[in-house]
Amino acid sequence: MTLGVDVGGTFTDLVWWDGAALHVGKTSSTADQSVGVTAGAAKLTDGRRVPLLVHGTTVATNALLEKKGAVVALVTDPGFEDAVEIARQDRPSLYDSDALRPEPLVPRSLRFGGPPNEPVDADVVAVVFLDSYADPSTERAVAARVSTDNPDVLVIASSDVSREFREFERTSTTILTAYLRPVVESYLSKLDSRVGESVADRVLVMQSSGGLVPASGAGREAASVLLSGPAGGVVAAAAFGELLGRDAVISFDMGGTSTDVCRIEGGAPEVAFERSVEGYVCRLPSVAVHTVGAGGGSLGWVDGGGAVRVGPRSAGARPGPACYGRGGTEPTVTDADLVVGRLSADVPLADGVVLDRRMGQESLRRIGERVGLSPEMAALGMVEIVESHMERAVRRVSVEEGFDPADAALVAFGGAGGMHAIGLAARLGMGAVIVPPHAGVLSALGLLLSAPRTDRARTILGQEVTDESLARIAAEVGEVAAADFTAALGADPRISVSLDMRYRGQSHETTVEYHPGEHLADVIDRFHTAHHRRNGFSRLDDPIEVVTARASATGVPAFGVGDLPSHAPVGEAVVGERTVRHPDGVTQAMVYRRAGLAPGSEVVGPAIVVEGESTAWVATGWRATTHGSGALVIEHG
Amino acid sequence: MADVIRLEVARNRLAGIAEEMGAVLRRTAYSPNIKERADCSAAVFTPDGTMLAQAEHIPVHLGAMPASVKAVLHRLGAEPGLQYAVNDPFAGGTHLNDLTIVRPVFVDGAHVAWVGNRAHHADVGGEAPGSMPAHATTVDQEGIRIAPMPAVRDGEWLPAFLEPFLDATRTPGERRGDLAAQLGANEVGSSRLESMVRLEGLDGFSRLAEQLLSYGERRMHAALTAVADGRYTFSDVMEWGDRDVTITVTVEVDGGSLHADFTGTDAQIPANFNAVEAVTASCLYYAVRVATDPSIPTNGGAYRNIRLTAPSGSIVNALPPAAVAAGNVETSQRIADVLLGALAQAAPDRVPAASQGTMNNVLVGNDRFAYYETVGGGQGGRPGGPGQSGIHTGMTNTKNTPIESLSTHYPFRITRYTLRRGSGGGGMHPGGDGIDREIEFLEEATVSLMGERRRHHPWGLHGGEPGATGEDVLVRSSGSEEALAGKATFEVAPGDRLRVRTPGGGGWG
Repeated sequence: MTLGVDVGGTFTDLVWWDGAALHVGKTSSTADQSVGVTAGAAKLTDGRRVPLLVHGTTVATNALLEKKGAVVALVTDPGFEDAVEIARQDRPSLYDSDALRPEPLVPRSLRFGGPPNEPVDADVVAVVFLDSYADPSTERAVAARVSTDNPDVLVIASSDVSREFREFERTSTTILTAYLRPVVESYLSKLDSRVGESVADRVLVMQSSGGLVPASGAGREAASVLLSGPAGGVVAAAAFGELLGRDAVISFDMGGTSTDVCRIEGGAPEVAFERSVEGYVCRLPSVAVHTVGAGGGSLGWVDGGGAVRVGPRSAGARPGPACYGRGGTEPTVTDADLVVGRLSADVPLADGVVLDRRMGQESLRRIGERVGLSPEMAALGMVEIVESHMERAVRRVSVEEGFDPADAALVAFGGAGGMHAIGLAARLGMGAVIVPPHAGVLSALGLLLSAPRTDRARTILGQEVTDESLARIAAEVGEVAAADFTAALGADPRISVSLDMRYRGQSHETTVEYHPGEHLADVIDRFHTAHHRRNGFSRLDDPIEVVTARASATGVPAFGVGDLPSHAPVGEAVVGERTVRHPDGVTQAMVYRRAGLAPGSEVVGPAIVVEGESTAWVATGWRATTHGSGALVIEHG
Repeated sequence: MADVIRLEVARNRLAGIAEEMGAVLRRTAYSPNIKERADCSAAVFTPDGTMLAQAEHIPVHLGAMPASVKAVLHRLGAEPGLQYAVNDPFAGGTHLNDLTIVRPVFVDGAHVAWVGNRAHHADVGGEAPGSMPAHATTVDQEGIRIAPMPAVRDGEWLPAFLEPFLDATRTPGERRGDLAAQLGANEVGSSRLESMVRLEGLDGFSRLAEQLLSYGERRMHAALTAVADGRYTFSDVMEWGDRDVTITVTVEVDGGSLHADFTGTDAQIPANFNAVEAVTASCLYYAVRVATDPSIPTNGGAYRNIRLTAPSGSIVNALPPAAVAAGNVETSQRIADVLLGALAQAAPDRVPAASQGTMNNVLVGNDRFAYYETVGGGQGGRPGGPGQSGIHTGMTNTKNTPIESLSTHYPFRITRYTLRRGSGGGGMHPGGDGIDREIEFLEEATVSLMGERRRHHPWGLHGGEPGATGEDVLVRSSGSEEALAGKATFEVAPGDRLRVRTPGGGGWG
C-alpha cells in the first residue's frame, strides 16, 4: 500500500500499489507542487488513505535554476573569502569568451574572512574553514559566534554538511545547502501537512543517491534532493535489469530536451560522489546520471558549412515540436520520428495534444529543401544524427570508467527512449534492449522500489591506517550513519562501509568495499584489482592512502519489482500496419499493443509496439519477447 | 545516406574517437598533471598529417599536433606496427615536457590515418626539477630532446627510446605510468578508427575525410567573410629583465581568407621564452576561433584559408639552440594577445580586452619533491559584459590543486587565496580581477617564478582602462620584504612567504 509521486516540469506521475495491483495516473504539475501531488493522489486512490507516500520533487532544482533561493552569506578563514569565486580556476569553454562560469550564489558584499563585526544581512550564513573535515573545532566555534551575533539567522557549518576534503567542493556544497534549505524545508513541511490531512500517514522523499529520507531530513540536507527526479528512473531501470537477469545495463531516459544515461552493474547504479548541477558543484552522493543535451524536442538546422545539425537548441514544452500545432515551425526529433513512421499520430499525448502529421511533414520539408533532401530523408537524417550524439556520449562515459558498453543491455524509457533505443544499441554493439512496462511513469515506479537510506562520509587523509584503526574508523562512520538512520527512519538498517583509496601521489580515488573485521591487506588487494579494472593498471609495490571512509545505512523498499503481478494480456495484440522509412527504403511494420501481447510471445521486426504514449520501435533484424512482468526484451538476431 | 547527413554523423564519430582517446589517456595516466589538470590532447589525422578531429583540452596544442605528425612522416615515413615519439621543439614539438606519440593506422595494408596524443611530462631532465629552468639560454639545459624516432614496435617500447628517456627524468616511475597511458590511448583510437574505415570502406573513408576538411574550410570561410576586410596591425611586448621584446603582427583579412604576418617582431633571445613556429600557429588558430566562430570544427580544413608568416630566428619562430620552455606557456599568451588586438579592430563586437596574459608559473622543489602550478587571473572585459575573475585565459586551461590536498603532500602551505578586488581595469564592462596567493614554506627549497605583465598592463579596449600589473613579493621570516622580478629563481627557508598577485583584465568600453 504505497504511493509514488514524481513531479516533473509538465506532468506529475503517480503510481499506486494497492497490495494486489498497480495503478498509474498522470496529472498536470502545479506551481505549488504539493497541490498537484495531493489532488492527483486523491484521484488515483479514490480518496483512500495510504500508509506511505514516496515523493520525487524538482523543487530544489527549480529554485536553483530560477535563482530563487535564500540570501546567503559566507564566512571563511581570513584571506580566503573569494576562493569560492576562483573555484578550480578553469573556464567552461576554450574558445567562447562569452561562456561564463555560474555567478557565485554568495555576492562579494556578503563574503567575510573571519566572523563579521556587524550584523549580517542574510537569511543563512555558511561557515567554511580550511581543514574542518579533519578538525571542525575552529569552524564550529566561529559558527557559534556568528549565531550568537545573529540570533535570527540560520548558520550552517561545512562540517555538518560534508566531512570530506577539497575546500572548494565542500564550500560549494555548503553554500548550495544554505541557499536551498529554506525553500525546500518550507515546501516539504507544507507538503507533509497537506498529505498528512487526507492522503498518507507518512512521506518519504527521494534523494539524489536513490535513497529515501523523511521530509524533515530532506529539508535539512536540501542539496541532496537536487537529482530527486532522475534517480527514480535509474532505480527502476536497475530493478528491471536485475529481474531480467542482466548483470550490466545502461539506463536510457530520453525526454523532451535532454537524455539521461546511467551505468548499472549487478543491480546497483553507479554512484557519483560529486557532480555539478547548473554549473554548481555538489559533493554529495548521487546516482551517476550523465545528461546529453538532446531529446525529442531538439531542433534540426543547417549550419554555415551546409551540414544538417541537431540541437543543442530545443523547442521545449512551448511551442514544442511543429507537430504539436502550438506554433512551432522548426523541425524537432519528434517531428522526424513522426515523418519516418516510428511515432504514430493516432495516440493523443497525456495532455490531450493530438499530433498533426501535416505540420510535422511541413517542418521537415523546409529543412530538406535547403539541403536537397525529401522530407522523409531529412527526417531520417535527423534521426541518424541525434543517435550519433547519443552514441558519442554513452561511449565517452563508459570509456571514462573503463567499461565496454557492448557488454550491457540498454533499458529504454522516457517519451522518446523506445524509438531510438535500437538505433543506439546497434551503434554501440549492444545485443539487447529492455523496454520496461509503465515506461511513461517509470520514475514514479522507481520511487516505490527505493529503500530508505542514510549516507555519511569522513575524510581520514593523513591518519595512519592499521587493521585496528581501520576497524575503529569504519565502526565510527557506520555508527554515525546508523544513528542518523534510526533517528529519522526507525527500523534496524543494514550498514555497509566503503573506502576511497589511492596510490600516494594520485589526485583521484577509487572506492572499494570494506567488510568489518577484515585485514588491511585484503582491502589493499581489492583496491589493486578495482584500480586495474577502472584505470587499466595497478602498482603492487606503491604506497597506498586511505582517503575517505563512507557508510550507508539502508532499510527495505516498500515494494519489489518481483511483486508485480504477472502481465495478463487484454484485448487484441495487432492493431494495424504502418509504413516506416529506413536508410534503404520503406517497409511495412506491424503495429502491436503492448497490453495485448501474452508473456512469451514474440514480435519480429520491423514492428512497432505501443503502450499509451510510449512507443518501442523494433527494427528489422531484431525481435521482441514479452516478459512475465510486461517488459519487452528486444534482442538482435 | 545523403552527404549532408553523413558529414555530421562522421564528424561526431571522429570527434568521439578523439574524445575516447583523451578519456583513456586521462583515466590511465599516473601523474596528477595529466589526470587532474588535463595537460594533454588527443587527435586523429589524415595520412598526410592533416588534423581530422581533436579532443579539446589545451589550446596551445591545437596547431602543434599536426606539426608532430608531419615531422615524423617527412623523416621516417609510416610503417605498420611502429609508433613514433617526438618532443624536439625544432622538429614537431613545442617544449620538451610535451611528448607526442603518434601511430599510423593501416587497414588491409593501406595507410588510412594517424592517431596521436600529447602529454605534458612533469619532468624530462634538465637543470631544474620540472624541466623549465628559468635561467636556461639553450634548449639542452631544459631536458632530453627527442627528434622523431620509432618508440614502439608491435606494442612494446623500443629500448632506444625508452632507456634514455627514463634515464633523463627525475621521476622514472611516474613517466613509465604516463607512457603506458599514451600507448593505451593510441590503441583505442587505432582500433575504433579501423572499425570506422571497415564500415565506410577505404575509398568511402578517404572521401569522407576530404568532405570533412572541405566542410571545415567552408565554415571558416563563412566566418571570415563576416569579418571586415582590411589590414590590422598590433604590437605588444614580453618583459626580459628591464628590456622589452616586441611582438608585432599585421593581420590581413581579404574575402574570407586571413594572413597573419609577424614581420617586425624582435629576434630570439638568450632566455627561455622563445616560441617555435608550431606554438605561434596554435595561437593563430586560437585567436581566429575566439574572434569569429568558436564552434568551427577542429580540423585542418578550417585552416586552409589561414596563412602564417613568422620570420625565421625571431621570438615567434625560434631556431636551435634556443631555450623554449616558457615560449609555450608565456610567450604564447602574448602572441595570442597581439593577434586578438589586431582582430579586435576587425571584429569589435567579439573580442574582449586583454586578459591577464600570463600563466604565473610557480615551480617549487628540492631533493625530495617537485611541484608546479599555474595561477589564474583576470579576463578582459567582454563586448557583452564584464570579464571573469580568477580564471585561466588564453592558451591554457589547467585546474588548480585543492589547498587541503597540498598541505598533506608538500612542505608548504597556502596562507592566502583570494581575489585582488579592484585589479580589473575600469570601463563600461570592467576587466576581471586577478588572484592574490601566498605560500608559506616549511622547509628549504628552490623556487622558480615565470610570470609576465609585471611592468606592462593588460590593455583595455574602446576606452576601457588597463588591468593592474602582477606583483611578486618574498616576505622573509624576519619580516623583511623583497620585491621580485616576474622571472626569477631563488632559495627559500622555513617561515618565508611568497606572495603572487596576478594581473587583472583590461576594461572594455
